[in-house]
Amino acid sequence: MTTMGTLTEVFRQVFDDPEIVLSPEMTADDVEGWDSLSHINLIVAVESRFNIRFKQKEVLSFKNVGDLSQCVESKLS
Amino acid sequence: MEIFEANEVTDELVEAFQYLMPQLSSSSPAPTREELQLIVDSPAVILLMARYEGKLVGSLSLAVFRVPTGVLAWIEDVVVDQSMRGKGIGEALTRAALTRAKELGVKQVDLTSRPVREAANRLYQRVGFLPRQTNVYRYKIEKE
Repeated sequence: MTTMGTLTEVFRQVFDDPEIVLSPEMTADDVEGWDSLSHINLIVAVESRFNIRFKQKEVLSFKNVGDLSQCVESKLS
Repeated sequence: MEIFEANEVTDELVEAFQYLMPQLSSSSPAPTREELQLIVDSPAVILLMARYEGKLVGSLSLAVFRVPTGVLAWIEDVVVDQSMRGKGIGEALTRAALTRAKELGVKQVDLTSRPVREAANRLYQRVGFLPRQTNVYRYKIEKE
């Protein structure tokens, strides 16, 4: 599965919305319930799913789904 | 695991502090419902809670205040239930506090952690906290 595909699964689980379809440009404003705290719940879930760790600086710097996906991929490569 | 901000005082919250507080301080009693209400109502304090497998297992208080040099914050009273340690709950609470602090325009977040709490000290440094080159003082106000 692609990174974006796996991320979509994680987003659907964290935000309890099976209809979420991710795109790189999507921001917190586009996903209901994506606030600063659910962002951490999302980060923890993404870390666990991909078995990676983000630096806090990275966590604070993601501006959209594309940033997140890119960072995941950089840690997997 | 889920981190959330406590915005209301529920029975569950009151009960959680009854078992979490003794693990945080042997000298401070658990906050009463009324005291928790004051915390939740305070614009200066953000009370973060961690839920794991349906149970409240951790808490962190983030105090945010403006002084002449800017908006500052302190992390206080971080506690994770003994049986739930090592699962990344304290780290998630800390990261959530930093994310919330950034959202509030905070320029720096301080905390203290006794050296004997080795796991906690490792956690804070892993997240990005650096030791400060300063003296930390305390004045204890005697009860009359």
